[in-house]
Amino acid sequence: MKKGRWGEYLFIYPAVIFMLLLIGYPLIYNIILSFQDVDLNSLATGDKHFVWFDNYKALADQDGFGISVWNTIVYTLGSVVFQVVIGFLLALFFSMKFKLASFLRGVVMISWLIPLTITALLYKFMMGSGEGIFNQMLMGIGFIDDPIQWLSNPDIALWSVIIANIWVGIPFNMLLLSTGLSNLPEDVYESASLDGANWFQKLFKITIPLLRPVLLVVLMLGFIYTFKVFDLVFVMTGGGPINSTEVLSTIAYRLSFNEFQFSLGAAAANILFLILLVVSVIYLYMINKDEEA
Amino acid sequence: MKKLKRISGLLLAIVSFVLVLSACSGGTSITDDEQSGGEGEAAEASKDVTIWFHYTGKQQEEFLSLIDAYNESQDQYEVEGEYVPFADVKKQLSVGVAGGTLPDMALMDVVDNAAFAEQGVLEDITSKVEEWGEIDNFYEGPVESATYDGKYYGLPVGSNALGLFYNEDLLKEAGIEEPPTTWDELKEDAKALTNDDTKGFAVSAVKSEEGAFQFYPFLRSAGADYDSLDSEGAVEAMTLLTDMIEEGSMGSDVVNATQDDLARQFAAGKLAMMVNGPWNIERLKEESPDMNFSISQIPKDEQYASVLGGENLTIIKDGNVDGAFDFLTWFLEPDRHETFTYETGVFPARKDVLENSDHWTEDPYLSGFVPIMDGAVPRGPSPQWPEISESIQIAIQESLTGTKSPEEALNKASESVSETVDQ
Repeated sequence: MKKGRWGEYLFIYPAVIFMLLLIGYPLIYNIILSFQDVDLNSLATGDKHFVWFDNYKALADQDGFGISVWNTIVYTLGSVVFQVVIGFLLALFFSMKFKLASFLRGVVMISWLIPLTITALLYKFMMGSGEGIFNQMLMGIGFIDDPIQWLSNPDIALWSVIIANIWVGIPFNMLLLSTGLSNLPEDVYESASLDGANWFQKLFKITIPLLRPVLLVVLMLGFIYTFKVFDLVFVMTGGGPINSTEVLSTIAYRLSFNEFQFSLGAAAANILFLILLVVSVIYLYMINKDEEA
Repeated sequence: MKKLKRISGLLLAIVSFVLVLSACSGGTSITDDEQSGGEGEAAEASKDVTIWFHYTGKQQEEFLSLIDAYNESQDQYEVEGEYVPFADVKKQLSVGVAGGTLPDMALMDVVDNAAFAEQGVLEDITSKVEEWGEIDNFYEGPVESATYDGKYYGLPVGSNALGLFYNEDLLKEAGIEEPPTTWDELKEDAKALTNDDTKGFAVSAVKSEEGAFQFYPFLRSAGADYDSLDSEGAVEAMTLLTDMIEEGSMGSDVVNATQDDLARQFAAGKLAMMVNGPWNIERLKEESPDMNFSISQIPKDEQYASVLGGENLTIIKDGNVDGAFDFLTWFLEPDRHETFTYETGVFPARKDVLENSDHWTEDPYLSGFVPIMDGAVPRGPSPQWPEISESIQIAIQESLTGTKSPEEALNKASESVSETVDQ
């Protein structure tokens, strides 16, 4: 391919213009909004004045903001780690060529296909402390004596939402990792077998290193997808009990559309964006290093 | 290649932001463009009247057919109703303000009226209301919810309140003849009604407006209000509910249960008594036709108290105010108001309608709400209600989960409420 022909860039202009309008504009608008003092009144009259970092300071003082940042991080890391590990194990399992393997893999995908709000409602029922099936089963097998307050105990509620989210995310991770696994060269495994490598050695010395690029993508997508969680938390707990499941997106929504403090809401959304941006940059750096190596 | 990668890096970063935006948008965004549906706003202001409403089911049917009837009855104005889901009303209105795509009228929850009036979104219709001269025929509470700073910013079009729903069969089984009328009786009866399958009593204490709504009757019954959360009465009200959870006669799940959830448990016979509103009556009859239930006043401390719910129709500033007001008064004429409210299972906002009709007093279920409506008060009204409500919600949840004692939780809430109000 010859380099430097500007004509070739012509082809990306529609996409670039599209992105600038639909993505660049709200991005910048949101940043400006977070430096202004805007409520419904000033939106209507257009009398917006700049208060610069006052919103961010006010946000830091906001009851529940600190905990929402912490919750978002715990929620994301907790979800992603378990999703990837379980998804990977399932992918390994289904890569063994047994009867019904592809059928079962399809069945596992169902949890990913259900709309998230419906999943959230289902889990809300299943995690009910009295009649919920989780407690019925655990008590039935004698694992616990008293029902667990899945969603009404502030110390447990976040993890209950994480459990629901792990269930939702496993199939997606499994699918990507399965595809990655099926693309691995077989000859490497053959020669490893000849050298007498056992299953664990193959897993840790061959499979995982070769899967590194796919794993990075899975982690990255999982992180972004999980970090911006909204519907699952909103439906399952509404951020409660107290602030125990409040996350950045729910607090941004509440500030904007419940209390009409648009600037505070924008500030919260920007912090969410900023963290994702940092993670994206780290990911790109790692991908670059990978390709250069 | 490296350059290309950098570009792709930038794009990826941007894409990730879009993902964020799609989950939560701080304030306004491109969605403004999507809803220029109500075009008839400025251009032909003299004729068209658009209304955003969140009625569903039967209420929606009746409302739309009344709009049709209005349009046929005269040629001066053309009214058009646009459905906006209840959960999106506040969001859509805020987006509409930013994008200049507001309707001429909007139906809203009574508790939001003052906030929108304070934010300058609504038209002050005081002079029109006074000229109309019918306002004295309305109930005080609903009208109060439509006022801000002594001026009218809307009119109530339907009211409801909270009452005590009780399962007569379960009460009989437990040997209780009359539903509880005082807090002590409530505690006692709820305990007697609780067994392995059934909880004696429940309120919704979820972290949303519903939680604050359901706590309000208890607060008011003890003589307290949102601006006296640290008073003895408020503490007593909170202690009552907290005690009932500790005693096991109310499930600790209530901190996560919506009013809908309560109705579902009640219909399934898992709940002997609950606090809920008349909009659930039809549903309970349908889901459990064999169950005998009835409605009475929420048990009292000092006096019976209930909280007012319902909707107000408001007129948006700078829209087709004359047309909107004309429709509003047509819609609120006694006969029409009676049919609309009765057919849809809510209460009229007009005293003269309720007094001159047998509909409500003869209905075996709705009649239970007639005395309740008398003592029902609006929340606030305060333009800062959403923030006040949140402080109350947190206090309820802190106390009911045992994270804080009722006093501690309410003292904290009282402080944050006075901070909010002083702002």
